[in-house]
Amino acid sequence: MQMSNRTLRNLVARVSLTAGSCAVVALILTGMTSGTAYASQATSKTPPYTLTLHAAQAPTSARDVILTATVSPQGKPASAAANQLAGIAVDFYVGAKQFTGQFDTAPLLLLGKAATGSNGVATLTYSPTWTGKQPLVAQIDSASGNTLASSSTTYSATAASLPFKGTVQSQRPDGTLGKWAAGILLTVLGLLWLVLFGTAVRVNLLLKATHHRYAR
Amino acid sequence: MTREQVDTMETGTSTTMTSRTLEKSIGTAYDGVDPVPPREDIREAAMRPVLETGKWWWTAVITLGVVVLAGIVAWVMQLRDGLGSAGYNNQAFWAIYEADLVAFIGVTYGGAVVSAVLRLTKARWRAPLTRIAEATALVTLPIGMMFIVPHLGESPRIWELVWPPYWNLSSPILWDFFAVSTYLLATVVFFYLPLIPDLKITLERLSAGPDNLKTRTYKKLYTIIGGNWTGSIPQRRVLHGALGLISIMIIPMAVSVHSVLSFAFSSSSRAGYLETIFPVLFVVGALYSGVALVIVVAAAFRKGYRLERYITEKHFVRMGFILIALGAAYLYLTFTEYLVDGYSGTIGNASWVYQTILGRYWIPFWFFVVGAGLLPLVILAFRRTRNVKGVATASVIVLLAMWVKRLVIVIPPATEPLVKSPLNVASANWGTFHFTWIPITITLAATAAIPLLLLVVFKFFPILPVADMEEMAAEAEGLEEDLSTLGVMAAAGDNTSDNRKERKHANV
Repeated sequence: MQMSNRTLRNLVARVSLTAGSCAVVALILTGMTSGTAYASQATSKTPPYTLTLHAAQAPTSARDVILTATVSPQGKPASAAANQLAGIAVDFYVGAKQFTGQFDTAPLLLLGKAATGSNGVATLTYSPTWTGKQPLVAQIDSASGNTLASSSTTYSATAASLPFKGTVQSQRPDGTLGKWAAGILLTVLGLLWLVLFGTAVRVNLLLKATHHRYAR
Repeated sequence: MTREQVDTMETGTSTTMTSRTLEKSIGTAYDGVDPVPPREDIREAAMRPVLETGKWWWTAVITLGVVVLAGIVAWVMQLRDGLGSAGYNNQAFWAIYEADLVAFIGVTYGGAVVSAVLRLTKARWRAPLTRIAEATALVTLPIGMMFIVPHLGESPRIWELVWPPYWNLSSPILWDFFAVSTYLLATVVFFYLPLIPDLKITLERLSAGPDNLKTRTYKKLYTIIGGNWTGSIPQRRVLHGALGLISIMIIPMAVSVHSVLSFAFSSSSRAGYLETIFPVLFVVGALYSGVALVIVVAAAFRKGYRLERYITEKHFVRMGFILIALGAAYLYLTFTEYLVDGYSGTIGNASWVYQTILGRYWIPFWFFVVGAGLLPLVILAFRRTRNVKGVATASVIVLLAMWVKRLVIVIPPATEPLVKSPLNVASANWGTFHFTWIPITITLAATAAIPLLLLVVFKFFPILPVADMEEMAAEAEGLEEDLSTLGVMAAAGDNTSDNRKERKHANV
């Protein structure tokens, strides 16, 4: 059967469209795979360290808590690898109160970072901003090149600090550049409104003028 | 040309000269006369919604009105119970209302920008669609703006957002308010200017009918806003000049509206919102869904008011092609966004991309890919489905899928863990937005408000741009005569089934 040029063109167009659609899906799948790969990379490493977290009230202030995280190589005493335990970065977190008030589903807020000494111990002073039971988590910082290890504990705070010290200011363009930029933008905006209103009014006035001139 | 000849043309006995030709030939001596011959069929079709109020109109208005009322009740309930009753919580602090805001402001683009571009490029086929497109922009923009009200929990203090000294000039929300309100003014002017000649025509038509309260009110209204139109060449020149200016102005204005809206996301430090591609993505997405809405509205009103003769299959096929081009661009931009974030290697981005594509948000994401990406392409690829029904169906799917895409833009980054988690990055501490009846009812009410307001708008104003169409028809007839004189008419048509049918009729 002989195929006309038109039919052939239609066929080519359809095949191109279908191929294009498939290419788009394939490209999105590639992006998806990359995301998945990175996500799994971040979670699949086996920690060679163990971490122990301890929280105790500071001797100097009833409001402060000393968080102590001890790093030790897995299955060995800390003394066996003393030189390797110095300088490991440890992150400390607290479980924040959430809408539901349930700590088990609360997001963890970063309190701060501390590096271990030669004995594998990292300490951080934490001042709770609310009283009561709060979950605490320590984690070896993966950004330092070491693999993840974490430990958690719970602390009951009896005293709390004020969350903010001093006055909190919202960001405003108070600087010279910000003021000028905002001023210029507001002027442009004003001019736009003027042109828009002006055009409508001008058209009406001109129509009125020509109407009186040519009304029959 | 004598005055008598011009007067003869006004009565419709001569329809071959165009306004341009007339302008050249009559100069300024007879420029007080409308040079474009009236077309009774166009006037009758355009005035149908104003003059006819069928039972179906009342049924539609009452039904849609009830849905809108239900939305207002839902909002009052939300005011009483707080944003938690709408499914919001500490993590899902942005959700459905922000998605609605983006989606509803976005759909105004189809009307304003597409109409402006077609006007500037002098696309002849645009004429029957422009009034519907501009009216759609006019009614959807205030509806979109309204979503900021339920989005903010403390609605009675909303004025502080934009009032000095409470306003924050660093906030994208404030600048977005400025951009949207300027765009709204431009949309009103863009709707009003082409309406002026039509109001005079409507006034003349109403004067010929019965004198009752309705016609008296209409006449008063039309005399104030369009009573000075005579259709003379100087008047047409003034109107065309003003329309050209507004058409040029409205395009960058529309672009600024959606790019500034995207700054609310992209100027944050949250993975999934911090995207430099967002301004472009938002603008293209708005155009895409906007064109889809114009198609759907045009299809519905064409059917409802029997406008098949003027809004033809050709219009839908051409709008369908615009839809596909925008869809392909939007899909590519989405792919770019996910690809770059996926490869960035930071835990926040990797986690967000994973959760969106394969994790907890995979259903809405893939619904968008299929609904707004592949289905319209497939529908328009085949001649069998490339018709009014096919294009309208594709547009409905696009609208739904693009709304879902806005949810995918807003919710996953909002619900991601606030800080790096010591647990599994792929599953730990993700928040959840719970859909409740309140935001769903408010969203449905806003959707119902679009056809409701359009029905009301077309109760007052002609649904077709009569003057524009008469001018186009006069020009086309002049052109056809010229072409037929040269014997090249057969080569000038395009290949839609409407045109094929018309040619077949002509041959018979």
